[in-house]
Amino acid sequence: MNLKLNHLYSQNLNIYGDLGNIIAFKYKAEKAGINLYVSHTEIGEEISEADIYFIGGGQDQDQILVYEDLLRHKGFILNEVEKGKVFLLICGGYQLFGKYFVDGEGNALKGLSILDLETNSPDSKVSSRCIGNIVAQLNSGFIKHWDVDASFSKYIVGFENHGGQTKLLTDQVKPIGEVIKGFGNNSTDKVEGCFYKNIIGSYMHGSFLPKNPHITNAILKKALLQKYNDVTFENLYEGEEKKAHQLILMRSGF
Amino acid sequence: MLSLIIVKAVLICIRTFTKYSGTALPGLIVETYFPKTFEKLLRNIKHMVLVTGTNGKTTTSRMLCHLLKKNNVGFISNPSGSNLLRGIASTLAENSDIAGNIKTNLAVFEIEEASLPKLTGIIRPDIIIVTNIFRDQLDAYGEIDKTYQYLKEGIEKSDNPRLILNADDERVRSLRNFSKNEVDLISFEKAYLRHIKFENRESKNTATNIKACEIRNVEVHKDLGISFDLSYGEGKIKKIATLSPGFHNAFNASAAIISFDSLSKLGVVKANKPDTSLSDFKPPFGRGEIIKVGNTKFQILLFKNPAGANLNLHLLESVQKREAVFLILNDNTADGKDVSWIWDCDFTLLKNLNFKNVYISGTRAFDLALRLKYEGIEVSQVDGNAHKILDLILKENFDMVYVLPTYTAMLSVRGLLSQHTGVKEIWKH
Repeated sequence: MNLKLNHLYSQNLNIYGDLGNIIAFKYKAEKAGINLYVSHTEIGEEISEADIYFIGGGQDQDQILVYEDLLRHKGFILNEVEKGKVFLLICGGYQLFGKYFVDGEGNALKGLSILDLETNSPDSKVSSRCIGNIVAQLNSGFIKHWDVDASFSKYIVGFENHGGQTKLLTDQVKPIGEVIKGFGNNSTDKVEGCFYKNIIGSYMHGSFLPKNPHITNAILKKALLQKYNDVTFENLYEGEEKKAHQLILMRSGF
Repeated sequence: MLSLIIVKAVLICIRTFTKYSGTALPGLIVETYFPKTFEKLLRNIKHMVLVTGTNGKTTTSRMLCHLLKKNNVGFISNPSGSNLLRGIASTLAENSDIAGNIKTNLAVFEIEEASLPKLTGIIRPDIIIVTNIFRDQLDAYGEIDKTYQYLKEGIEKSDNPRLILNADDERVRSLRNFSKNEVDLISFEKAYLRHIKFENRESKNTATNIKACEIRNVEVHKDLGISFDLSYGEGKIKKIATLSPGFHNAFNASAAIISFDSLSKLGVVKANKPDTSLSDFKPPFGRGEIIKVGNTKFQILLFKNPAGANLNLHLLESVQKREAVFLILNDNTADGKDVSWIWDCDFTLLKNLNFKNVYISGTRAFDLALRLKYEGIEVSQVDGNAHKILDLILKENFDMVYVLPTYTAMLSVRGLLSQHTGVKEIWKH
């Protein structure tokens, strides 16, 4: 079986170890017997079609550069979303898919408006940025839609580092999980990330997939199911994945 | 001054009754409660060199201090690792008499990037050296663009200091526009830049008084020390050798020597024929220093951000006998609480080195173990307890072990090794 992964804006949105997600995709795909082809699309280039699209986070200046370019691709991306293609969006990438976001300087920028969410500058409740280890308990709706192997863990763990405060506006977008430790989308709602069709948005860096291998498996399986009729996928894990995941849970008092 | 009597008493108490060095608290008291004293002490220093940037601050400033010492130039400097304002305030308080007089008229301070504008808002340094701007501890700073802003502001407030800049790092290079004084731009011959990924942003040049210096013919020796040629000023070529490991230390050595020359021109160095050799310079703690326990030598190469880690991994290519490497990842505040940077390190370098034994420890040992697993590197032993790993290593009787620790891991591994040998306290360096 073959899968294509397109890492969008890898040159500009790659801060905080986002590369770890690509490394995780490669490793887990190989273990699952999937040939994974990784491509990149940078500013000014046309997006080559793929089964999984990944966008990471970046600095404000890079995010503004990407935002101007991304709007050109709105038609293509909408079409891919409707087709059920898989998108993993971390931090900046997540914000760009919303209605608008406000950068560190306070400038409001229009997003792709594919996800019913908006991102504002930090309010008075957070001093400046949401920074630290984060743990969220997966919502049952998310586990069901993504067929997540909850026997590995009912939680996701990561490290967040964002100024933007993201609000989910309608039922179109549902949170991935309830925040047990840390902030998540914003400092008040106690929810983390969102999912809609086969898009996952999250604030977890640090890096998201290596420490959450049940999610890597779920994404690979979902991408295969979109492409092939007959899919057998075994959820495989490494001892190191379990230990890295559990360390953050333990520190949060689990 | 009453403030200084209080602070000096605190310092004496700390050193007498605790095992601590008192490199921070006295300074914190001065900085917080007696800002006027801090300003007065600073203004008593006639000449000042500041060293800032992500990597290389400690090595560069220690090298400059080494040259000053050899040439009998009196100076004060802050201990390595105490590079916030409080560290500088402590140094000043310790070296002044109770009237606030300081015997020397030269200070060499390494200073953390965000503190630079705070310091230059008070006093004008003669020279500012900027080594590089890399991704480092983003949990503390947020973004590297912000780090750049601190440096820019720090230089602008300095009223045209002489600048010594890393010309290969475009962000650092662009700082040349913020001083009308002489600017030394140090660059490597292109071939060496393969292993340094500077985050380049184009910049236009408006500075006019630029001196280009180039590092050529770098050789890494068996003991990982280096020698190279530095071409600077009217075609002069200087041969330089140092034990500080890795070609990247050629920048630090060049910056130290050029700043020393500048101080000579300012009349701070009195020697007629100053000795500018660095061959007898011992690498400072954690920056390539070697600690021997029994028959085993431990070389400690600080491991704290992708740029530095990649350089050190690349450096190990020069090692012939690859017996053991020991990586330690902590996530305490001084290390950076976010360990995601390990995913940006190029561990294919380590994989290709085929070390016989790879040991892992630290508070985030399993994150690192997972990183190496995904890279396909076989790990001999993982244990959160560095003490246990060191015991294992010592039983093996290796000739040489390369230790790559994050900052607090470096402090603790030095502590553990010192139980076997007499390693100096860091603040006594």
